[in-house]
Amino acid sequence: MPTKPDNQSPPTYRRLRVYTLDPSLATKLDTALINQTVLKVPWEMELLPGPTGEYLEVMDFDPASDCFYAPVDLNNSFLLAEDGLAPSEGNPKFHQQMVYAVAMTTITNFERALGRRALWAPRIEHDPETGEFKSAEVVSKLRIYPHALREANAFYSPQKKALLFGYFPAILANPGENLPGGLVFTCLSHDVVAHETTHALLDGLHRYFAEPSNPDVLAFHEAFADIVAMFQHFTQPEALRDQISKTRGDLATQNLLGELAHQFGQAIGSHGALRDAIGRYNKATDKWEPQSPDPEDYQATTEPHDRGAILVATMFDVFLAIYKSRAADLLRIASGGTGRLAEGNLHPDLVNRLAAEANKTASHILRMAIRALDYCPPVDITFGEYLRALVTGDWDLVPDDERNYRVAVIEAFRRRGIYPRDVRTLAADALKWLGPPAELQGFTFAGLIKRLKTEPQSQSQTLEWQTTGTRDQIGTRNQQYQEATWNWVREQLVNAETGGEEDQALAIAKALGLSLGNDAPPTVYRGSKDGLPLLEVHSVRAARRTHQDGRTILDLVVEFVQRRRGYLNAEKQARADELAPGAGEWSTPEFKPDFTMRGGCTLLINGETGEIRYCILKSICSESRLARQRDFASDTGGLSLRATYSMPTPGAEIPEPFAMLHRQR
Amino acid sequence: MSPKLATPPKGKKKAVVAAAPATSSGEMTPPEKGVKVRMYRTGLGDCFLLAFPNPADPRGVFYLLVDCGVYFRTPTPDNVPRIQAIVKHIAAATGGVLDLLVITHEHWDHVSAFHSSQAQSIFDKQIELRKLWMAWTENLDNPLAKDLHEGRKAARAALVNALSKMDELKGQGLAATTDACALVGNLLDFFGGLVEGPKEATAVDGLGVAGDAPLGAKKSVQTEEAMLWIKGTYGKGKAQFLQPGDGPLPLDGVPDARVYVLGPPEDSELIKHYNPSASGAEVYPKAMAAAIEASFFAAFGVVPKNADALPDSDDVKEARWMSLPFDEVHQIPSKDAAAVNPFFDQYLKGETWRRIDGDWMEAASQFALQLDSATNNTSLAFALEIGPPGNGKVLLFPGDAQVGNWLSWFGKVQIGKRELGKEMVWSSDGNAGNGGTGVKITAEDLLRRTVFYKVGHHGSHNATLREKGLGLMGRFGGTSDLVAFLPVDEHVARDLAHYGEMPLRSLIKDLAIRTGGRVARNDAGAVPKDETSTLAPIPGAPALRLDFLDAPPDDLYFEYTVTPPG
Repeated sequence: MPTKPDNQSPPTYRRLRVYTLDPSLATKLDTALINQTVLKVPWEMELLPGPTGEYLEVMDFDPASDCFYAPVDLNNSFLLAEDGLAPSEGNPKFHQQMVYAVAMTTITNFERALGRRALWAPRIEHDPETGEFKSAEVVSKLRIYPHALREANAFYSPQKKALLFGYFPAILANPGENLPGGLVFTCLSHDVVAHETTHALLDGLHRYFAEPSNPDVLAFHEAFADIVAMFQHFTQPEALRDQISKTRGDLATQNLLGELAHQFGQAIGSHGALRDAIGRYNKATDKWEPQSPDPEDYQATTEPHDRGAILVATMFDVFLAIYKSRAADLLRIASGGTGRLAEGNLHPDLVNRLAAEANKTASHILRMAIRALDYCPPVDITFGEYLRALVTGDWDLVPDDERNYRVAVIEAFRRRGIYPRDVRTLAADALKWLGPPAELQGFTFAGLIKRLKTEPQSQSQTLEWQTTGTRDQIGTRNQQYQEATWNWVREQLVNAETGGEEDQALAIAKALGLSLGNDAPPTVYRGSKDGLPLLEVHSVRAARRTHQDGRTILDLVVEFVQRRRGYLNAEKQARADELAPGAGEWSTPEFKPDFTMRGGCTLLINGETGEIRYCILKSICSESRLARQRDFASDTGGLSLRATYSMPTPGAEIPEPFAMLHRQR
Repeated sequence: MSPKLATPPKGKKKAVVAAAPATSSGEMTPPEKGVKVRMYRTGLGDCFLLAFPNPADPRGVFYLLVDCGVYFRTPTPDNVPRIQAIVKHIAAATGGVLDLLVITHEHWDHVSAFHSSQAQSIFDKQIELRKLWMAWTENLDNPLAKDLHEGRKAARAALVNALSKMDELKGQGLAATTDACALVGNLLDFFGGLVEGPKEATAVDGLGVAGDAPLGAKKSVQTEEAMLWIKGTYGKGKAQFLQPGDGPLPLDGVPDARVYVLGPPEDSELIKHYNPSASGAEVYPKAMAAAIEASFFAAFGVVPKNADALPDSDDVKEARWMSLPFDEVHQIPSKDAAAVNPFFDQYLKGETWRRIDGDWMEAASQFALQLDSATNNTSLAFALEIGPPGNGKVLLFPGDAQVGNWLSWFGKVQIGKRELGKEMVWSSDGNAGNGGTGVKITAEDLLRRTVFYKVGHHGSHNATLREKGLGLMGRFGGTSDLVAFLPVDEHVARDLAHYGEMPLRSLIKDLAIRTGGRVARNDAGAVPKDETSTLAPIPGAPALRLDFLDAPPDDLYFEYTVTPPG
């Protein structure tokens, strides 16, 4: 560890060299110049070999080769002087440095957008007999294995809280820019690392988004990870300038930045990269073609990556529309008002200015996309709901849509045929989540906030805890807050004993998408102790936003989730919902559930007054949603060869959902 | 290839049974015209006996047997005893003389009866074989066939080793989290398990992975033994290897019947093309798949092109060296890691739930699927026509052909930018290819005239094509005379082998619709376990029925006669 000179504050950043996209650019003359870049990652005082820091621990074990690779020490003075190791495919220590640098960059983007520290999903243990929550262990470091697999795959493992990267030989015939027979390392691709890190970050916020309860859920996970990776490109100035100058400012033509996992895609021979947001390589004409939006695609595509690509393309459309409008004046100035640029190269000043606009646009969209996560329902996300989350989140941040960003977003979604199922018009004010319904009038969380602030263990007088503490403290405190919230809600809504209020309490619960009394559908899971419906306080977190007058306001995001037994046979479901909640039949094989339905709500609560600002519902009692999930669970239609030989239990928990996504195709 | 057999091959023998008198009770009599087909109900496995009228032979009949096997994990009462009863029944039915044996491909559920552990001795002693047909892929003098064969053998060896390594890790509580282990095991079962003993025994014998001999490569599997016996002993000197486009081939002496050979295609890429997908896109291009396979196998000391290579041979050493991502200077062998740097304790002595020792081997499941499908795609697929050439009725036996094989029947196949395979047109006057002057016959013709369909691969999703398959056969609503025979046992497939979609429910539905419910399945009459069973009524499709059979269903077989048109 470097010694700290007296009276000197530590540096803000640690500069680390990485491949801009991936190693393949180094071998082509026209891209060799932009092949590497320097990432500025937050300076970690306690960074140990690995690298092992506050967020990440890189452990380089290669089980297929039965060996370890020594950990890099980024505090080595030679490395500090030279922005880390020079990019090299042959040096595992550089691989460790690159995964660390890219993952940290991704984490930083998340933290900036959300205004709080990023946490990994806790390791939750359930009672094996009752299935009830047993314990949640804070996982402070995400583990990264840069050489874990010997296949063309990389994935986030929710079970191990780890990223596993593979390496594989490139194709022998037609290898694009890769050395025939040479190795491709997925951990050296900026996109793949950013993508997998995003999976982990998203899982830390919304762990039920890994449960495919409708065709959009896993697709959303994939798409969101791609969106973050893609827009992160545009924060790299060298590559951005190079591509703007190559495409003469028109980023809608084929350019490297919009392609994801360039080398990975080249290596598996799919012409152009893996999930290309803007266009596709047309096999028939042997040419790259921009992809025009087809509203049918969203209805017709079911494979998670392909469906996810639709959402990625939508967000790229948003980017292009905004970039074009921001660049229009520059182009007019540069072309003397004609809008038509002269032949030849663009002036470097113009390139710089255009790059700045692209950078600004991309940063804005990236922040918008990440912030929207606080406005998503806790379970069963659909693309349409994500659109509503985007619009609402942006509304909160910039109430006055001067630059028409929201219009651009809505337009792009409309052109791709993505609509929320429950809005009448695609206007921003119609898409914005609704405030609390009439049943919730007068119901506030003021009491809870008071308690959270004054409870002895909370120690903090404000709700700023998520930005100030160490991450381990925040993780522990989060759990205390969840417990306090659970107690408070149960007191308010379940234990109310006076006659008239009982009904009112149940009505409030219902308006929150919950069912907490004895009248809950019998298939809703009950607690083994009190026989009442189980309730999980999935999350209590703070979200900052800046009010128009410049004040920072803190919202509380609270998520409640319940679970319910689902059966593939609707008639059996009806019979199950006739049983008594405590009946012995539940433990018989006949009533072993085929899938789990989850429901509840996400509430955005004003952190000062406790008033509910938005109530984003996924009601546990919704029979129509249950029926849709049943249809989805019974439709094994994805005819994979794997399904012929292995029995997937419909709707059952998939142990490694992201590992299987790639192999299943 | 190891010629070692579990039982020493016996010398070639004359059939013990003299031609039985035509009136003997067990004999299967041919129809006056056309062909009588018996599907023996082995369970999850194929066995079809066909009887044709044959005036040229003193017996007046020509017997053709297509495959004889049953799936490995079928429980005992329905496995060995049943298949022995079936083979004895065949001996009696044919009077001890089999005119032609067709073996479609090298999978246990198609050839198990020929193994010494099942009914080999009954074939050997009681049934004289006159002629044997196999696909060109079984002719090891053909370089491509030999390549494919060696590749499959290497894959089996690597997978056996991977499986035992996975079991070993499981024993240490370091198993990977997905279902690959079970899947690989399931697929290897199609090769009949290991010779050395039951599957369980191999799980604990701790095959070395990194440095020891690749024992798997030395292990012959039972399916290969059965194939060796058929080729080298039972059918020695009688074998004919068929190429796609061959035909119309006569059945010696049988008037009005002939065979068109459809597959397997003479192209390794088509043989490895197995999964239907709307876009035609596959996970990896073939060359890439091969390279990834090689690097994976190298970890188990197996070289794809040479399954018998010794662990210290240059081939294996080179493959292992090539598969390592970094130079030796960077490598810290696992066994030394703790001593070299205490940093690694975090992994070695830290939380077990975060370890990744087994995850990379999950990729084995992909190779197992490829291996299985590539084997299915070597199926000898043929159409049997009875009646006037070019206008007759067709019985379609696709073996377990999957997409690549099936597509190749119709001519060249476009994969990516390349065209693979060849155009195939038959001529009714027997001059194959375009030289003949008779009626031109294509695979599409043959499928359109199909009245009897042996459902491919026990009803899985990728062994019956839609547009270029079932869509050509029969009529919507079942108004034609199409019938389907499906050699499947859902209970074995789903409850014992834990296969997910065998048979595929939507395929059963389509079959029922196009045949008007005339689908004979080996497990007919079994009680459906629940409403998801394919034995249960399927909404929107006619119920399956057996009233079209010649006689009420027998416990051992179903019988059905196809008469020529007119």
